[in-house]
Amino acid sequence: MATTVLKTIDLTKRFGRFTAVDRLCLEVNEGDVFGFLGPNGAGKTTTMRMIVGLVRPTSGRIEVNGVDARRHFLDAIAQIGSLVDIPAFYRHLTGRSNLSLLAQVAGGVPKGRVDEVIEAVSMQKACLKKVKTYSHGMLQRLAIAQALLTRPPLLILDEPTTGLDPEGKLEFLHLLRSLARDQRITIFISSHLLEEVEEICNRAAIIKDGRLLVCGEVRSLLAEELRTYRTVVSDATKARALLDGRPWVHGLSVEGQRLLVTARQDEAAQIADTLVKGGVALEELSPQAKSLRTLFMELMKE
Amino acid sequence: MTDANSHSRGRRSLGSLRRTARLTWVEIRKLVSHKLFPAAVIITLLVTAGLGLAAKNFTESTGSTVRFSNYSLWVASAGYGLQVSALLLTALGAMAMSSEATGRTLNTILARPVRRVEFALAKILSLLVATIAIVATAALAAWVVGGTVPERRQPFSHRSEPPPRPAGFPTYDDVTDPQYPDTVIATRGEVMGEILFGFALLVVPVLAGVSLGFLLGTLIESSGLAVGIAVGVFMTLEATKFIPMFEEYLGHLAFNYPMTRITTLMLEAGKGTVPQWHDALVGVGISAIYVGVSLLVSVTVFCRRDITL
Repeated sequence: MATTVLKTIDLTKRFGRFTAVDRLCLEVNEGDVFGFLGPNGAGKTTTMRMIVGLVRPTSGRIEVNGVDARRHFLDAIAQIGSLVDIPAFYRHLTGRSNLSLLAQVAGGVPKGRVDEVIEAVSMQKACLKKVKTYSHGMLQRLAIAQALLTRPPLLILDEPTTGLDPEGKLEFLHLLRSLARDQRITIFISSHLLEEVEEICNRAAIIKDGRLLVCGEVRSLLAEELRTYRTVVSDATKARALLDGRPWVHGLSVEGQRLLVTARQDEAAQIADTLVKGGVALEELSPQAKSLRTLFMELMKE
Repeated sequence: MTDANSHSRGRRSLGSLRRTARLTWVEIRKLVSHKLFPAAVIITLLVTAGLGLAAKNFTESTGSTVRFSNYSLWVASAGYGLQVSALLLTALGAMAMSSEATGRTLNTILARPVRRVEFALAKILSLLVATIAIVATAALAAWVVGGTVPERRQPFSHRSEPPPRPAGFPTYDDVTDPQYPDTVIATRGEVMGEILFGFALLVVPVLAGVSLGFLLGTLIESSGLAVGIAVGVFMTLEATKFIPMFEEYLGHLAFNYPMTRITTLMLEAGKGTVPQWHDALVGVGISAIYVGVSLLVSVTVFCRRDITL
């Protein structure tokens, strides 16, 4: 049975009358790369800020490796490395000085650890320059380096790829993947970029208006019963008329000579059967690969 | 069980003290590496030495009847020079927390295993160190200027007919009776002791300005705005002593009221008189209230606030 590294129980945050996070229950297991998704204002950053102690929960609990974060804050936070919001450092200092300063703040960081994390993010030369000369990509790398200083078992990353160019994003995702794989670090990551999350995360949760909509293995989230089938036919208008109103058709749209039909997987054969019997030549019938984006958009519409 | 609890509490307190000490050291490192603090030290040095040199030239070149002894020169230039430095330190106090908020480094620091109260205390302690450093800088610069008798220049004395004196440094001697030069009114050690006590007292009103700045910097997240308002409040409070009728009461609210009072008492000490320090108690007390209330409110607000930068 997987060990739970991070657990939120009925986590709620209200700012006056506005409820930013509403009774959120999440479980992140050891070794997970957990994607935390939601539109702007859904409550992702507030949740992350509560986990790292920047925002106080109105109610509910947070546990890090079984340690109650409210009662034993220092023990809980010592197990977290984080990057919440944009990476911020002392601009007049070099990257290295920033890291050594933050190592001193955290305490108990061995002497050579600063060099190790600099090497881990490949910033040996850049770390000798002042932070004010850094590009956004370098800042992100430095932010990861500071998060790794204390060898935390859990990394909390809030939209870490924002502002990076495609090459930078690729490198960054590669870095995260290697951290999860090689160092067995559990990663809790929020992002707007659903393809990225789909690519690197094994589990995900989607929230909206502070409430959890779905949570689970990415594969099982995408393998729901309903699927959309791309159908290329000789006469799209006739095909539509044949399928429209059938009880097993859950969605229907026409794109030129193509029909997009949403149906249960076990009833997909009926699409072909109905069209052929109705005299419509069927050139193609293929299930569309469901992406996290599709799932996200569906959930947002509901 | 009770023993175990008290042992655990003791360990927690010790851990907290260690973290606060560690954070204070980090804050001092940050302060020294920032431009504003070295600038404040240099300005203090220049203003204090400048005032001292100006007073020297005044007595030497004009033949004025106002004469400064080297003790007076030391005290006056440091005491009045510090009134300028107090403004700089107030700005430094206002920047301490607000610059962390503006630069969002507060997120980076507070998401680490430190308590907010420890971080706030470390900030306050580092500002206390900065204040002591500035007061010491002013005292030292003025001591050097006041105690130097340059070549072919008249020495400085409160006596009407000063005896000629060779060039040298330092020239702080026992204070003697103007009528009977062989009679020592106060030894050099006694005068130095009183003056150094005065400098120690001066830390309190300077710290009052710093604390007020710190409070504003905690409440206002924009560092520029916090510094602007802190300087404005500082100047407004200074102006209260010029309000006719209310001068006697509102004047106490100004930071330089106790500073001026302490400086006057130090000047008396420089003349060999035993200063009546209790005269400065009201001013120092008001400054201490400024410090206590400002810091208490700052720490309370900071510890309870959500960081949503």
